[in-house]
Amino acid sequence: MQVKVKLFATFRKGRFKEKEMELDEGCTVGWVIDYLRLPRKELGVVFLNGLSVTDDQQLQEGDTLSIFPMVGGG
Amino acid sequence: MHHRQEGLVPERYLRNLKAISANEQAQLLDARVGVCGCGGLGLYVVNYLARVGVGHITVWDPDVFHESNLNRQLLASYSTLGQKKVEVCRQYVQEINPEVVFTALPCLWEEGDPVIFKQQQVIVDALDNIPSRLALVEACGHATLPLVHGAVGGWYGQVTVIMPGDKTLNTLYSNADMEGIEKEQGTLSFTAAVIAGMQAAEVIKLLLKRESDLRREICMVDLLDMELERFRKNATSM
Repeated sequence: MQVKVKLFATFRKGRFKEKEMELDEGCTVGWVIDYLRLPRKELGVVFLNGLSVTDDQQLQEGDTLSIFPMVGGG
Repeated sequence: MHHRQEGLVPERYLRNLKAISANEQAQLLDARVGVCGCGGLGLYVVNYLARVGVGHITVWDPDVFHESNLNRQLLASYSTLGQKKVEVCRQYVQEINPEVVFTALPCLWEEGDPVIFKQQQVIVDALDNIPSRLALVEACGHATLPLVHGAVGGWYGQVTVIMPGDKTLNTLYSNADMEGIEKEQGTLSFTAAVIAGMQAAEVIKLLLKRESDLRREICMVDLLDMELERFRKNATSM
């Protein structure tokens, strides 16, 4: 299945801004995060088709996954 | 000094018209806003609120100006190093708008008088650490106060409006022990100014009972790629 993965802010460095990924059926949000080697300690909010989701959320054909690092400074 | 009569607006507010009506200007003069944190975000937020004419501003921050603040914090200068931020801010606000009743509280918002906290109409999250931000959402929920959240790191920032009962911040900061990208990326002056400006706009809209999509959405700002993305908050997080 094809899923669009969008990375934001510092997560783009050395990776990509937006990419169509070919994934196995049943693949989860957490699998994509680990596959892309996104550092867990920097992980902020993850949106699936515009709604925030957790790691164990399964992906579907045509989904758009948006992954942000955590921003907390002031 | 006070111009409460209908349609009569002091010269200092003339350039607010008609973006803000004369009646709205009078409402702002009676408004009470609490700003938690008087650093990169908070100093800009206070500057904008005082200039636009918010009549009562309370600021909590125990810190003094350090040399490392000079890269971004509005009132940090060699002459203010070592001075209490809230006190420097108070003097500045008196210079630009003496009509503002400014309460400078040189302590953490958590340690301040809860009565003063509850007297506010809107609270601004201009803090610099995640545990304090999460505690502030809780406190605002208990006091049924709307909270205008802003956070920055490097070239990036985020803004949202949190109405009482909205759990969005728990989604944004799912683990309070984590540190944001600002620990590695630092914080840039213009990013703080942009996010603080957006927070000030949201404060004014709340005070004037104007609509804002940011009560239902989170706005993510990327000044490096010049992108602004908005995401709906989950129904369950409201």
